[in-house]
Amino acid sequence: MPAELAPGEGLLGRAQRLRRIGAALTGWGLSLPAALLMLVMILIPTLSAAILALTDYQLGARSIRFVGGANFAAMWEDRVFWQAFANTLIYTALTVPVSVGLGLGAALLIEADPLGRTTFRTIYFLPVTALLVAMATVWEFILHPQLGLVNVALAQIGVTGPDWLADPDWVLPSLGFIFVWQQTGYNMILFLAGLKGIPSELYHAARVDGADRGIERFAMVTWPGLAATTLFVTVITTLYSFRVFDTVAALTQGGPSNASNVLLYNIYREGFVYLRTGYASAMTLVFLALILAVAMVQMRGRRGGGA
Amino acid sequence: MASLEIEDVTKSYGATLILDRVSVAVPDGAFLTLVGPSGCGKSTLLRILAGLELQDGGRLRIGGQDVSHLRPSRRDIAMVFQSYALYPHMTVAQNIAIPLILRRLPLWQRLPLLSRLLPQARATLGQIEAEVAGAMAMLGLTHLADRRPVQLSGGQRQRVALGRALVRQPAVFLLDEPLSNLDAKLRVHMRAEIAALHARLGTTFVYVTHDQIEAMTMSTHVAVMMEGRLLQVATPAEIYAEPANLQVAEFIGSPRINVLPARVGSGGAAQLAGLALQGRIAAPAGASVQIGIRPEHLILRADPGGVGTVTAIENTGPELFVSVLTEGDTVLVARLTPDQGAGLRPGSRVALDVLPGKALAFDADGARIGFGHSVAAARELYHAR
Amino acid sequence: MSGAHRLGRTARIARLVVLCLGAAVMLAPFVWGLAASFKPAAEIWSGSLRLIPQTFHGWENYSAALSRAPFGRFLLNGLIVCAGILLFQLIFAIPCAYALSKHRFAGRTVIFGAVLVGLLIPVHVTAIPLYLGFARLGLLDSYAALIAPFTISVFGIFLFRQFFAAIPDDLIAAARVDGFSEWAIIWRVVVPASWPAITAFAIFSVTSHWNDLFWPFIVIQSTELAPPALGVVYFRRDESGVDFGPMMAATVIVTAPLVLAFLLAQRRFIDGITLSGVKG
Repeated sequence: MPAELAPGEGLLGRAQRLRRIGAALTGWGLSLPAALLMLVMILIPTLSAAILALTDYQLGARSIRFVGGANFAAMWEDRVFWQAFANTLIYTALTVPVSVGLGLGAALLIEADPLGRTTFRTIYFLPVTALLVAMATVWEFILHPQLGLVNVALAQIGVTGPDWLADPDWVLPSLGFIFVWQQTGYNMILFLAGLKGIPSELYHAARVDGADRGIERFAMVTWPGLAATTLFVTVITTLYSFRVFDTVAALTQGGPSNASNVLLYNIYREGFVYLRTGYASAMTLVFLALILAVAMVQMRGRRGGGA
Repeated sequence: MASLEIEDVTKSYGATLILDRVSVAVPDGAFLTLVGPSGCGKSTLLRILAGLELQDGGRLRIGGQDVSHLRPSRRDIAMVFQSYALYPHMTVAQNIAIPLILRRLPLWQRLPLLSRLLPQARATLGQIEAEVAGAMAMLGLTHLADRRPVQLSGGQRQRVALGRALVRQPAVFLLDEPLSNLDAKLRVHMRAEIAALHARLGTTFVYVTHDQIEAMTMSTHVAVMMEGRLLQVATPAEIYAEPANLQVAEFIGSPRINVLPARVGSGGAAQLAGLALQGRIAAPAGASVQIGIRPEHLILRADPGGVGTVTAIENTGPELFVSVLTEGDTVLVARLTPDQGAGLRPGSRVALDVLPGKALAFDADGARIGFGHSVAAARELYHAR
Repeated sequence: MSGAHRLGRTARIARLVVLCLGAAVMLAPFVWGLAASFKPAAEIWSGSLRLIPQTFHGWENYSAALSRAPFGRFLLNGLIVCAGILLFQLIFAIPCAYALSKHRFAGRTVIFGAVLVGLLIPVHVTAIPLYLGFARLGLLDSYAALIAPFTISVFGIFLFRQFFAAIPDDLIAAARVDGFSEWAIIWRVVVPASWPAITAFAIFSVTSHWNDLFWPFIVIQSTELAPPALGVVYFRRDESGVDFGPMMAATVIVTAPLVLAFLLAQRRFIDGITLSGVKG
């Protein structure tokens, strides 16, 4: 044993300090690349977007001027922005209840009986894996006003279908339908996972307790058991529906006359077609605020939900 | 008033036979324990009793009424589940009230608003509340009435599950391994509590467990099951002292009963290595049989000329378990008091003896056969099977 | 589930009917698109509901699609971009997640806080400043522009941190006693123990970037650099939507890889794509 060990405390203290420094060095060494990238790719750009929103910057322009809240004031007056904003909310209001409800329904029906369980699960999930712009092209073909599958079928029962993607009244529901088609399978899988988490003894207990009807057992066991899942599925579906872009960019370019213009597409158009960078950045912040609001609902719900 | 009769109940899943013509009958107020190793079919039998599964054949009668085809809610039974199966979104009081609400209020009166408005529903709810309060008081749950299951300890959840079962005053209580999720100390405590509950209520209990101590300590009737068959139904004392066959003898009792191969000599005398036994075996001379000796019936005497060698001594405090290697490479375990075993060390030579009349004999298939003084009784047992 | 509770016969039939109707809608675009990719234009525009083509025109449609746009190139671009993104994401996220879950050091909460903030910010919010940055560096319209913004996955860090936390500390202590460096512990102890999480994340990452349109739409101008989703948009623009046969053939070509991969490894795909479910 080395002789210097005698003044034990001082040495031990130094060793502890060294350990701590060493730990900090390893910790930072391992996370520094990721931390730097987070800074450069996420945090600084987000801040920059917030700063740009306060300027009149135009893409490629030499000059940049601080304009305070002018962009937001302009937004307040901008009919197209409000239409895109409203369209996004309408789209969400149309698609979220339907795709959450259908996802839940599909999951319940699939779980109700073993026959065909895997097959149906696969089929319903298939759209989730498909390239959305490509499938949107097929839907465009199916929704073709004269020769598409839908209107030809409707014509056989004597109904004249609208021009789904060119009629201002029908374009949002049509795009929403494509979203629902893709999102239902995803929601179904999440609900299936939620159903798996409900212990089967609870169903047995409910039957012994006198819940003879399926609907009673659903109300007593299934629905409360799925409360957390339902909240989560609703939130994530809402976030996805806010982000609608692909189908709009590929099929309608926001038309006819802005009837299918949505927030993201409007941001794209203002920022990269009209090159009004500062203005587009301001709209980006509105988009971010929407997302944060929904995320807050989720956190509130998780905290308050308890069980 | 509810006796319980299970008659020739059969169940199989596909090609696997789970229950093979099981019949049990117990009188009103009995505490029947179904005990056996896991996979013996005891839980299936309980679920069939509950109506959660349907038997392939056979009948069930509760209080003389045939319930074989009734749904669970019509059988006048209540059940306590292994995981307690409490509704996580309901409070303790709500969990206990739910079976009463489901039974006494029609569906439309259960709607949250209506139940408050209708005088009739309100009266019923008041009555239910009183009964729930009574049940909670009985189980010491009153101060937990507004808690959710996640906020309760294991023992408290257990009590809520019991409360949900007893509030309905069912004819029969079914309990599916209710103590298996509790730690050892709590298990002993809840064992006593359930036994006391049974004594107070006087209702018929059917209790499933794989723990023989639970079976022996709580029951009035123990039914030992193995591989889908019912081996024996009797009082705990009888099951231990007079097992109907070798499987029961081996399953009940710890340490396990010692089993030695033997041959029947002339006049029914038992011929086996290292031990002399009195009495006659009710089997023809020359037959091979098995002799079972409980550890506490084995007597050891330190004897340098003895045939046995002590190989290990386990001291549990009040008693010693002594392993003895004897002729034919068999190891026997004896249960001694510390005084009886005082002089023994590993390596000690010992002579072995058996308390007179305590050895049990089984034929080659494991069925109990007469031995010693109770030949007639043993014969009876044999023929009863 | 126990076999105790079985549906009645009517309920079973009703369940099958409803599920089959739903399945028909789910499958309709796949079946109809595939069928159209084999039909000649005349048949497509005849307004008939016939599924099987009367004249097989598949060869012509597919060769037309392949000759009018470089679909092989689109797929290759998709592969390069997805592989590049995934590689960098793993290299950066895994050590960081390991440090966050198994090391206590000053500043750890700051980094983790940044991860949580990052989880809330989609690329759509950062797109404009990132675009300006890439423009300044002269990197627009390049693989670098496609890959760089996604080299850091906060979600990856978050997910791996959770998964690594479940690895027993004793295992890592044992490796340290055996003389492994921290770097070696990551790649030889932690990573092999985390394959399920890594595969799920890989599938999640690849499918989302394979399908991404927004970012490539902004930064890419040249056809040769377009990933599949953007390739479809270019092809549509050039074809102006008249010739549906080759268009459907093109659709089949870009959709097939992921759909086939899903059919081959369903369980893993479902775990991977629904991974964002862990986020909540």
